[in-house]
Amino acid sequence: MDALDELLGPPVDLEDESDSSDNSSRKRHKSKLPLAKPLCAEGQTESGFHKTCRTCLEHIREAMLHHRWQEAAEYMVSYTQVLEDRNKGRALPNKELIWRISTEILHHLSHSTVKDYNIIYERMKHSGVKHYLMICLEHSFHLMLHGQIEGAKQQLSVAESWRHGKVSSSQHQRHKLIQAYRSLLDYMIWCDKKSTLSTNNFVFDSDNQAMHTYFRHASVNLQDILKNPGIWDPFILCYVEMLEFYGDNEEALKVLNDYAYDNSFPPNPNAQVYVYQFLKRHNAPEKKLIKVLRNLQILVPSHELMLEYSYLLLQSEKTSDTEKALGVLLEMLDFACWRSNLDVWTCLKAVTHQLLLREDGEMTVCKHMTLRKDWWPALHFTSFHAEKDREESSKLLEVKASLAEILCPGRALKYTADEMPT
Amino acid sequence: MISGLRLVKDGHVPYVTAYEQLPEEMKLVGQEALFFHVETIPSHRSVHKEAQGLLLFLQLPAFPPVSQQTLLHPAPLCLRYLTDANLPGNTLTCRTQLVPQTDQLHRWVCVLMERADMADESCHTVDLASQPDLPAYDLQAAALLIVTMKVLFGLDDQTEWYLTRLNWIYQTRLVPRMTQRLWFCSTELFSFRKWYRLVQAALTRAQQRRNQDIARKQWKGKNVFFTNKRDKHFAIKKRRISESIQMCFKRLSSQPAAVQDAGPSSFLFCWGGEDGSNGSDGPGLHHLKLDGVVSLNRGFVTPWNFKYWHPPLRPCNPRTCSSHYGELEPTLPRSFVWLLQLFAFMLDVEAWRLFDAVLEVERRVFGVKSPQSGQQIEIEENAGKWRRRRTRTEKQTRTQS
Repeated sequence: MDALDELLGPPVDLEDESDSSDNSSRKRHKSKLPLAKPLCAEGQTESGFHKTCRTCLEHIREAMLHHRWQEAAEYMVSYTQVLEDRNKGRALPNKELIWRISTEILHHLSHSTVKDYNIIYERMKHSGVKHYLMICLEHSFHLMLHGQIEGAKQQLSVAESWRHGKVSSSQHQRHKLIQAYRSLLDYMIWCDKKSTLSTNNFVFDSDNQAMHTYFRHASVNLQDILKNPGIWDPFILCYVEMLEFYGDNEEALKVLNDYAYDNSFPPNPNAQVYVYQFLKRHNAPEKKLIKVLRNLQILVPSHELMLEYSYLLLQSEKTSDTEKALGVLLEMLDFACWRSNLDVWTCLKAVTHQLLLREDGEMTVCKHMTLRKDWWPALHFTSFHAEKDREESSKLLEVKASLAEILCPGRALKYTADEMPT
Repeated sequence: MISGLRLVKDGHVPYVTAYEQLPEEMKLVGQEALFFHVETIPSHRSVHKEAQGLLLFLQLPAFPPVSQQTLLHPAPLCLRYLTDANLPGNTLTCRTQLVPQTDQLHRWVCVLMERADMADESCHTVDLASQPDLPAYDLQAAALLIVTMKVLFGLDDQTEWYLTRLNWIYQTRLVPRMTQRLWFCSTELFSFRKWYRLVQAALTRAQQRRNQDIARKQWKGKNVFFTNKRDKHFAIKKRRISESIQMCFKRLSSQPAAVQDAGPSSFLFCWGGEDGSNGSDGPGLHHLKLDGVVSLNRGFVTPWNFKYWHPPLRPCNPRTCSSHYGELEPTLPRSFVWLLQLFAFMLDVEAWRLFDAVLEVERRVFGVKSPQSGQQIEIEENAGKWRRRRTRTEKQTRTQS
């Protein structure tokens, strides 16, 4: 029945096999033999070959789920015939199945070698067009994990220069990934060279040159990559490190600012963190630091850098900054993760004391607490919290107890520093 | 066809890669070559239908007569299935003399065969003039066996186990049973329970093996199949990829997974010897006696079981209706369903076909030509003879189709 289906069926998609620029429709070659009506039409039931492949796949899946990797490998010997299926619609999914199952089994077999991986990757790469880039990427990751940096780099270089027909959007994205990882590998080689340089007493010019070459390769590619909106955290850190090594701080700051403040990029709090860390490393004035942290506070009020932010605000001379510090700290404490943190509470105590020294301090505190006074007592000042805090640190208990009355005036709170009668 | 399909499936008869048997000079080119590209082994039913169609189309002359010596005749065929299913049946006696011993199952099958008018060779020999329908010999023989088992053991989920318990009681006490029963004190009695346990275990193993064989079957021949130059290029490329990955896994797995090649055999099970030794499925029960289920009654050997059940009849249009097995199956006794499945597995057919064949045999035994509307059949037994009583007056017709 399959033979007849192939003779009479509709033309199928051949994109995977042929040149995608070939758009001419295939001529249907009419069979010369008179076809008799099939005596026993069994309908669109599965062919024996497909049943075999399906059953084999079920056995492989069962074996893999139960971690019987040896058995899975044995069934794979019989399963590879699925690649010769004449049904072109199934060609792509079958290739992906074989690729992924084979690599998974190889991961778990104790006696698999790098050679086996290479065979699988090379063969599956060249079996078709759609998966080439992904398999290249996976292959290079694998080599990276096994410490073969040069090999990984070579794989990616080959992949980078590979072109086939029109570049689709998904291929374009993969090309970007490949470019990014290649620059990462350049950076890793650069790091290697840098560490060997620092250990050696004699610095040869050629070593410097080689290092610089890698730096150039990496930076060219990274500049290109970083123009595209996306989350490029590991890559940007490498780039900045290299630039700092060569003393190009301006460029580094520019890159970081672009990454953090470009609106076309997705919001990424890490970007602000990187800017802040860079500025701190290079002893920037406090005003600049405060400015960066303000942006971060809007994005992530519970970030750990908020503590530093509040210290900075406390130390600044502007009066409005103290109020801001209060706001920042209260927002931090809205989150349960800071509940038992002594530093935060101590800072809050310092801020409130400073505020209360002023005339309108109490009003300021009230203003910030209006939204919170309904639920803060339950969040921080119950007798249960008192017990827990007493166990943890008596200092915490003291600090919190002193703040309880200030922040939530007029409420009969059970949070005291005194021992509860047992 | 009896074991032909099985031989094809096991690869002993070239079918899937038949094109490899063609001489070198003959090149398969073009779309017509796809006729040689096989991806399915046809089912029992489709082969039977096509054979029937060919028979009529080619206007074949009468086939050689199917006598009791021919293997296609129900008598020897039943014996073969008995042996394969590990049921009592003395091969030597039946083959040569056709006067089997009084306590063997095969004798009962022959009695039933006579009753259903199926012993005559003319109803099995295909002749376009008198008998144009190609009989499914294997289904008929298996159905006869099943009906015999139904007569002797009841197969209603109660009688067969009751008989087994009774046997065991008498056996262990070594007490002669009531008068007019046969004496025995040997342990060579056939026990339904023991047989069921043995065969069920073997059946489960065989089903698993068959499932694994399906999974491991190789459909692609040594030579790559292609229809034209372009096809050849892609086919060879795919073959290379497939082979290199296969080699990789062959190296990694300790034993290469190949379909177990046990040599062609028309028998599915292998009985005899200890369990598991020499590849046997278990001890043979062919020599056991049926004394536990038959008795001597007024000089005749009679089955001890007096009951016979039949699924409800209903009016049907044979042209539009196919098998009712799907609806009836949940209401049937489990022993009967299990026996159907056992033989369905042995013959590699679907259970519903066997069920229909059983109904057909029962129809022949009871003398009814085809299911007719509103007919009620009551069966009465009296000392080894069977009598029929009908609610409507009808002529007694012989069931010769």
